[in-house]
Amino acid sequence: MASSIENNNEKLTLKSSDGEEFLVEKHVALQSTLLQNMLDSDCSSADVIPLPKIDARTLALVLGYCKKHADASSSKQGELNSFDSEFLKDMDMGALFNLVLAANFMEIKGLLDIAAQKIADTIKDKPHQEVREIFHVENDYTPEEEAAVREENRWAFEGFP
Amino acid sequence: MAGMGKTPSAIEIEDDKQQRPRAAAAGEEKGKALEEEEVDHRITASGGDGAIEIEDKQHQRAAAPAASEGKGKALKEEEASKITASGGGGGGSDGGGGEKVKALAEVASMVVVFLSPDIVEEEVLTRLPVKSLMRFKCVSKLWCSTISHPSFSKARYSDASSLFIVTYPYNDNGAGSDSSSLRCFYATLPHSCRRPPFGGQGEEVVVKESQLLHQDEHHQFTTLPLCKYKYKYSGATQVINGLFCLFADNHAWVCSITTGEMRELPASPDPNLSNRCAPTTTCKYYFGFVPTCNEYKLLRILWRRNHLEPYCMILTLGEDSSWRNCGYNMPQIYKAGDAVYIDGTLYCQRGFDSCPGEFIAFSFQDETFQVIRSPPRASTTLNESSLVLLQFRGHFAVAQEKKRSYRIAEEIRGGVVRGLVHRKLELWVLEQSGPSYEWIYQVIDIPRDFPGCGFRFLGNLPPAGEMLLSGLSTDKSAMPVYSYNHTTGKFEKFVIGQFPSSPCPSAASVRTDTNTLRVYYYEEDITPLNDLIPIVEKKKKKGSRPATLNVYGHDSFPLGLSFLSDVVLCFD
Repeated sequence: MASSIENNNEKLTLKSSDGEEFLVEKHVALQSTLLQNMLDSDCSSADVIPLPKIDARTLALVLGYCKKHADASSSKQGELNSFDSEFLKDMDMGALFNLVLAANFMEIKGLLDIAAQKIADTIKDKPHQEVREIFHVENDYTPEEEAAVREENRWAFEGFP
Repeated sequence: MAGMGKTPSAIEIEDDKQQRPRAAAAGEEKGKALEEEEVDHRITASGGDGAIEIEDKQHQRAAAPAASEGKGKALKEEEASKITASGGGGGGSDGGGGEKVKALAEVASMVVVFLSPDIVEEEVLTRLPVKSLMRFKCVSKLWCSTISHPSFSKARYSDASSLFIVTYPYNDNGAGSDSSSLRCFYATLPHSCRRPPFGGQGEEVVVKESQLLHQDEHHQFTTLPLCKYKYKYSGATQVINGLFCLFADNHAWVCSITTGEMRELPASPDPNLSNRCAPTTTCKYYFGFVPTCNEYKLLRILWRRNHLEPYCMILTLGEDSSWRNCGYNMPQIYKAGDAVYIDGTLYCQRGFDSCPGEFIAFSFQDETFQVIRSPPRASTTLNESSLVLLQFRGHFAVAQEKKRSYRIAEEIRGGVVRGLVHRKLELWVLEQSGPSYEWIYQVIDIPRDFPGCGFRFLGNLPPAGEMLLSGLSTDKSAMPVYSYNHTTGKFEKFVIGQFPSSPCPSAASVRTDTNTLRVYYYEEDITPLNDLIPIVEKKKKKGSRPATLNVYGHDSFPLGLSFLSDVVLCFD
């Protein structure tokens, strides 16, 4: 794989919450603003960088995304867009939540955008009761209060039970 | 495979053309591979196996029951096969992992990923469409207050800049008794018009009926709280910042076109209540905004039989609890005339009986009227019935009719021929600085495919107030719209698709050749009305007078009847 970045053989090791270590090329890791800042601030790449909030399977996904975007940065945007949609295809809500948490923690803007947008697109046509369950939100409305809020926004409930 | 705890496996992401991150299991010390055994990492990029989340114990934030999507079921399967996802890598090659794997297996019962309210708010809710957000106010009180907070609307990642199209009745009144053709629609702005470079070549805009103005078979607004009352004059004002006002006789409502939220405004004194008053012949409302003090105002103009001067009242939204008189020493205003609102000023035509070709500018800030003389050389040819008032590069402009076009018979539409001579549009543009002003004559080339010789002004688009024009097409299926780019001096074309047929059976269908059509650009704003227009209980302003109605329409004869708004409400 060709890369225009110098020293692309330089690698660093990331350690997931469950102890698995991932050897990644530096230019791939630089997709993460968090890692970039750590490297900039004299954090030697020889060290193992622990990511205590991200489990191995999520980190593998994250790094897959980073690699594609790091290597393809000069290639066509259309190709990346189709990679992104394929990347998230059929992913369930739990995996998406993990991705959002990881991308948020590692500050990978592009991944955060697409994963959060995927969550939004998945829930936007769901009934609010189901959304409550997905996000584990406790319903603190009384039935009367909920009915009142619903009545105020009646137009939005067209087609919903 | 080596145990996870003590001898971690380094996994390197290989070039993944097949989009599967491959794991190279490595040995006990990092960077030094013992075995080059390539293991297909169980976690694929597409996450097709229904991803189970097993987090480190200390990172579990909630252990609520698995919510949906068969997660619970998948989890059981996972338990049964004694494979922990976080154990990863091995694909079951070596069941006897380190202590940590065992520990994980023990706590792996029901671990659910949980997004903190902050992340839900900042990353998920901000990416939802308006309609979903309005429904999700019912999820919880926190969600409701988050969505309703004034700052939330600005935080949304919405590029939903849209068009709001209103078709007004086309008759003398502009807001007359026949409200059957007052309908409104949503449409998304074509990509070609959103930002330069413009390359719009007839892109079609899909038009959807708005739910804001439901009317029954008698053309009464069923969406309004007073739907039982038979209105004489009802209609809608122009749209400003995504807000507009609906009115029905002396009642008015302010309405957000993004959220559909509606708030009733104080009723204005109704002259028809007094039999000593001359009957109203026409009533119009105009909406205005004063950016310097962030105030919205609603102007009501009444024309009465045998009175040349109209009667004007004004209301500051959110602040006044009653209407104020304005427009003493009122100039005449042509009641059947067009009007254009530009940045806090309303321009309308002066009564033609006395002063042909002159205009009135009403400042919503000062609440004063200014007479604007007719453009030089134009006064003899201006004809009130076919004058087109429009906004050109942020200025008020008038398109001049050329009577000599009449000789081309097929160019005549409904007896009205407007402005286009030899594929050129002739404009008089008003350039104002303070109280002084001058008219600038301007000629624009019209595209070759512009239909007919007449045209309509539809509105303006950002970024530079691009002027929207349409031909007087009789083709019902689609309406070509031309957006004039001031920078390039050229028109771009898009097409407004077919208007849906009316849900109200007796209502007329939208006729692009006879209905007055206005296209408004707006950016979605889901801020509740009470935050956009806060209700301020202010003491009466100095010098403000309550709205009174002069029986004879002259200030010198102040037989004013003061109407209290709550008295006016009692009519049934």
